[in-house]
Amino acid sequence: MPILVNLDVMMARRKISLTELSEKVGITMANLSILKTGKAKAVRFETLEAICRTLNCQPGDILEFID
Amino acid sequence: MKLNLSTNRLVNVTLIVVFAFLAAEAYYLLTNGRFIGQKRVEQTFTAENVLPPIDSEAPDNLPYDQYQDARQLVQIKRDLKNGEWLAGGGVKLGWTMATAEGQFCDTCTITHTAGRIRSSSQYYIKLPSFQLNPQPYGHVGLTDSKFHVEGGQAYVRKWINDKVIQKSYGQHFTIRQVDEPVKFRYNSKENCVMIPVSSAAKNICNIILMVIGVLLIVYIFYLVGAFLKFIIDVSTGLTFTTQNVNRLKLIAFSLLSYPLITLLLVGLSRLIFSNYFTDDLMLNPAIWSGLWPLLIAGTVFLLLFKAFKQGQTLKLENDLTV
Repeated sequence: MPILVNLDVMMARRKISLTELSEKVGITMANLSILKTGKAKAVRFETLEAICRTLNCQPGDILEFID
Repeated sequence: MKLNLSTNRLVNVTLIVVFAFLAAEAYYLLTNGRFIGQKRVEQTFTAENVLPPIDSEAPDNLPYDQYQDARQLVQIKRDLKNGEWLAGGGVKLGWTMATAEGQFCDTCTITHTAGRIRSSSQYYIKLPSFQLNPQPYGHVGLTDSKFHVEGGQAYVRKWINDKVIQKSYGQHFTIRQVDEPVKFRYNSKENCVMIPVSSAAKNICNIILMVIGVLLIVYIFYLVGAFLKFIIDVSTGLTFTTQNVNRLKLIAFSLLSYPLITLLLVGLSRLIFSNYFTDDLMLNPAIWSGLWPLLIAGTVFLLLFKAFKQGQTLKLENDLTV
């Protein structure tokens, strides 16, 4: 898929663990893991909003289009 | 080769089949003159050269019990001559093929009971999907084609149309009765063609049919099991799973392929025994009544399979939406 998820990069920059992010965003570890590993087929706006708010970043920092 | 049957194509194929069926039905009704008020052409017949009855009739001045016994003896003699007496002891595989064994005695004179008859065994391969072609003169009281054996030679007694004269009121037919020699034998009770074979050929056929029959029964049980597992899974909430989709696909293609394989085997048996076949034989129309429900059930399962496959895709998307 040409959409690359850079969640792990942003998490490393903010020095936040998957468990901590999961608690703050309010989604399960399993779903966050699906997003992190790039297996997700779709992302809800509310999930993206919660992640961006927690990590203090823009959606473009998490999602990247690669041709 | 992978058959890629998209949902749209499947719907189109189903609609075409339904419309073709309706068109055929309409054509049948219209050509029979029921809807268009077609004038029926009057037909008259002159039957020449009417042959004497195949078997002597029991005298009807006998008391009832004796008359019944006499009729039964005539029937037994006929069955023995035709090689149909005690025909049985074989294996049957649906409409495709069967085997049978009958007692044959052409010169038996029955005095008391059939148990005293010294007859020889005759072995057959039965083709249940073929029957004698009914004669087109039944509506004027003329009998249908009849099979009988005389002196070891099999005959079909039938009417032959010699000439047709156009009259002012319609058509006049001149027909005559003939005994046409044929190579096949016929079971009048089951209305099926029998091919005389050796004992060894019958035994080999028995084994092949039995093995196929057992495998078919095992496969049917497997399909029933798959259907039960499908129902259990759906009732426990595991609806759109890969296993369920695969089960529906298996059931659908099995139901659809059974009638097709049956017809293929019937055609194959027609080719294999083409030496025995004459114009007097036709495909038994009853074969369709057994195969149509399977085709319809197969189509329904195929549509279910397509629906469940779409459901599985939607479920996967939903599961992977964060």
